[in-house]
Amino acid sequence: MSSKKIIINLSIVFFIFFIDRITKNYMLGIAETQNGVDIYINPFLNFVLFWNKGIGFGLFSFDQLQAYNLITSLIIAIIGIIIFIIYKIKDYRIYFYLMILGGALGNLYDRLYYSAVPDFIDFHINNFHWFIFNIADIFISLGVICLIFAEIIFKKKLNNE
Amino acid sequence: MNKYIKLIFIFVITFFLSSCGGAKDFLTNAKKSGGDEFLVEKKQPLTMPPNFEDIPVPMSEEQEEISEEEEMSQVEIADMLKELDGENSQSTEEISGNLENSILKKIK
Repeated sequence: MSSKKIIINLSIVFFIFFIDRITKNYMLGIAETQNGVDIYINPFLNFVLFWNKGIGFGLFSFDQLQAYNLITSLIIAIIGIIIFIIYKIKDYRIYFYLMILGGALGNLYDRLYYSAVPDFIDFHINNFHWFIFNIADIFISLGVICLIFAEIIFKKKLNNE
Repeated sequence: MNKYIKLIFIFVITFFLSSCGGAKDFLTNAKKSGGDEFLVEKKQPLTMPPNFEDIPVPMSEEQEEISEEEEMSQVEIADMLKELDGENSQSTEEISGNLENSILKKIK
């Protein structure tokens, strides 16, 4: 990997990381001044601050410190694998992994600094609420969706060749 | 095999790296724990009762004791008077009965 590519890749990761940080800090600032966040945007979107101690979709939300540390170390290991894949991969899928890495680092920072991840985007249709998420989750989800499609398309291309 | 590993890895990424929280627990509990302000009855403001001036003015403890003694003595007197009335009424009945008999005898 050339130095130019490394700089581009790093800037993508840090761009996502900083967007996530700015939005989280903005919400935490509101929470401090107004003693909580409960902002109505439109009938489908609210901003509500929620601290997630577990992993995705509210799973493994334990109060025990050992379980929390185990999950955090697992996440660090997965991030390590992703960095290894980024280093190895040479096609366009690298950008999807970079998106995932940027979001993952954003959430990892909160896990280490606050011991929980602040989620604030509450998307809902009438009374049906989707899981509360943040900007990092958006990038991770986008990266995963793109990766799945890329795997399918990439596989087809290889088969055709 | 490689395909399955990739699939598992993508699932692991989705679950472990994202941190979307339980919306249901948060929102439902938050709303249930709070009291419903519409169920709380509004209290009327404090006002003076309409017949406040008719109510007797409370007395001191000494005065209350004296008044209680007075009440007791009044009750005793009333009882005595009743007893006397009862005796009187009996005696008057006897007298009236004697008079009737004497009149009836004279008429016969």
